[in-house]
Amino acid sequence: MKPSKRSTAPGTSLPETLTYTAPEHIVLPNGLDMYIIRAGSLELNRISLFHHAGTRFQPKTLVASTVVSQLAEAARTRDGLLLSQEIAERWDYMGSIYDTNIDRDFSQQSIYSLNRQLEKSAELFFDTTFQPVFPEDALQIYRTKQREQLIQQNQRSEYQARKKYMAALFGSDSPYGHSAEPDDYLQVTTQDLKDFHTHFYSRPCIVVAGKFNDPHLHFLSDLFSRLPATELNRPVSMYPQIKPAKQATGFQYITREDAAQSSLRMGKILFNKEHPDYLGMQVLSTVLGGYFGSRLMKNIREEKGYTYGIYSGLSSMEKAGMFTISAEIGNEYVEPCMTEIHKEILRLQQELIPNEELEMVKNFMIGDLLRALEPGRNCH
Amino acid sequence: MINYEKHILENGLTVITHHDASTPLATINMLYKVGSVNEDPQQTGFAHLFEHLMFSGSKHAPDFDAPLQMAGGENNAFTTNDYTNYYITLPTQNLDTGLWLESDRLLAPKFTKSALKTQIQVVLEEYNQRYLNQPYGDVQFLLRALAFKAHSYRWPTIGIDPQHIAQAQLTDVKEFFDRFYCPENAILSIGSNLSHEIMLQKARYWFEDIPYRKCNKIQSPSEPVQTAPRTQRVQRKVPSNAIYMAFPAPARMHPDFGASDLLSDLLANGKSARLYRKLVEEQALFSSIDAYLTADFDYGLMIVCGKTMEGVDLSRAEAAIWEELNKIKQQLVSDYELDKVKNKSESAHAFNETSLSQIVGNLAYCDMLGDIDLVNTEDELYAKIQTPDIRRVAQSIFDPKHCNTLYYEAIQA
Repeated sequence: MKPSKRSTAPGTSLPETLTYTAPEHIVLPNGLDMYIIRAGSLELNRISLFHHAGTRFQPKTLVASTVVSQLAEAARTRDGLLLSQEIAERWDYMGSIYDTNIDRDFSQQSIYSLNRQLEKSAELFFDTTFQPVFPEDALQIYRTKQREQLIQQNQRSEYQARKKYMAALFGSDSPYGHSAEPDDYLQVTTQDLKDFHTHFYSRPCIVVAGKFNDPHLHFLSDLFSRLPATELNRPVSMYPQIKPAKQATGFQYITREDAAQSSLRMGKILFNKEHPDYLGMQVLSTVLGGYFGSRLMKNIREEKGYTYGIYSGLSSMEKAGMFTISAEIGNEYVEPCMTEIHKEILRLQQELIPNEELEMVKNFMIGDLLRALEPGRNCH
Repeated sequence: MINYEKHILENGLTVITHHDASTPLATINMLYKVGSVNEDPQQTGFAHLFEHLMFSGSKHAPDFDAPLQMAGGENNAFTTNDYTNYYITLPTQNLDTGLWLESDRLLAPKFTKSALKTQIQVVLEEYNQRYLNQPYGDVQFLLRALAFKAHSYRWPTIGIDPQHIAQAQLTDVKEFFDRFYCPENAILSIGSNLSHEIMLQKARYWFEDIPYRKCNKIQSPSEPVQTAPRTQRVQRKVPSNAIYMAFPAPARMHPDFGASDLLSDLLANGKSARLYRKLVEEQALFSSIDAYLTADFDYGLMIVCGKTMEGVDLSRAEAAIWEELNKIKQQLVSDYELDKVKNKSESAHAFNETSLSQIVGNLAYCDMLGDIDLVNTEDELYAKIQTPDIRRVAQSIFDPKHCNTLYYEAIQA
């Protein structure tokens, strides 16, 4: 029988270089940085603002996330005071999508618009961000609703495990290790929101992406140039400081009679992106548990079937980093699963990674970079 | 406009190509027209379990993932009620690697007892993770069983009973493959910066020699028209009460699908939508509320559901929902309000077409529906919908006789 064309794998290669167009960087007259990414073939755009206003800066639990969620609740605009319903109504009519996000270091707001609506959509975005009013009744509704949602979250074992894990790593009273409890919502006042907004929302980093023409870009740079040129002046005493973390070690358990599965989080405090070993560590973490063919997935899912998925990864925050392994495991497999995780870590410490495996991981990571840089993807 | 070319190979395989000059990546999307709807009622969850087994390697490529990862590729798959979809994204110069792997598992997949044993366990853990260990995780099971009495949509893709998955045999796996995984039951969709001709040529090179096999589909029994409302009440250890109402609604290719979709947007898409504004913001009865279409091929459901605020009982919550549903049945929505949801839907479609893999997947999906051109014409179809259409579909869908209501009561944990 003659060998089939299928018998050997087709040859592969990877692009010699990544085509990545760096964003254009302009500095507005008021000193703000604006980055422009020209991407995509459709008449769409995205405007994002990054505020150095993550949860670690809040003087009181839940204030930072409440501020970013309440920005579109009411704002002073050239049409007068607009309330939440009118704001939502206008964006919905334009087909614009508004979205916010927060982590421990930064908060982020984005507006996604059709190009033909860019000006109106962006103008409203500007007003809600920089001229918000925080109405008492909107806050009331928000607090009650969020409280209920946090009660729901609190019943999920993934959430419980993550919370305990963060507290063990950074300390439950530290800005990186602290988690909110449902009743904390009741303590947030409109005055808290106003103060936090004043101190943390005047100097955003602006990133715009889409298929722009010159008038679009003129409009956007004029719009954000309206902000005053004053530097932030916030007293250091008003927000908590990151203290050197004292990481707890060992095992902690949360017992739940009704859990169909166990949530596992294990890891340690590690350096962040700025460390010279970060890239190498990222490759190492990918080998261990960062892709479908990883050692943990192969061993614990594909050979033993203890879990639907097991992953390892790095988190890089401004003042710290961490390395975490996570999985949802069948209750009866928790012990053997931990044994296998330790075995895999030990193997990485004692044996060199075979060249072929290392090459595969690097290639996979290069492919991932290509996927992340796909044209169009940046604007959606 | 999304460009595409479509060919059918001699063995029955549909090949769709899409050209995009701007990308260094290629996407291969392989859609098999088999989902949980085609399952034996005694073996539910099988289509999804089978999807897992398609990654166990094949005759010439004993390891599916390693060569793909070596080529900088990434892949995944999902199973729905109607179809099973596999996709690969990799640098264009390695397109052949992807096609080699995808074609080899259609030509000669390798099913072993040990792979089956492991994947059964993995799927059972998936069952636990996604359904049993989540608050409200069993809603899909309850609601489908309430709304469908005969048709195979009455169970979710994960399956009705973990035992069905646990008992799967290797012979069942082989039979399932023979029955459904035939070239004529598959749609291959490729997108890259190569020309349509070259992509077609590559598809031919890798797939044309796979022999024709007759596909032998199980037809699901049809669903009798519902004549009386159905209700079910359950108590669970969850934080708040919830209500789920399922109404028979136009299926994906029904001429009224678009109007029904816009109807669901009017009710619940975004903060300016009716149910959100009235019941979450004004009356503060619900902490969250939603309305959506299931968009399945044989039959559709319109689901209206919400979680109540603390202390709100379910009958009050239900009455408040009905008040809004009755309003939209009786009074025409304004042109302004309809334009709003049309604009939103146009923008959502546009933002949905920003990556190659979405476009290529969408082409295969529309072709499965029976009208590949839907990728370009759906916006126009939506634009033509008028306010009386909305009232007409609201009247026909929100008929109390056709309502299936699930009362999900919270009890102390």
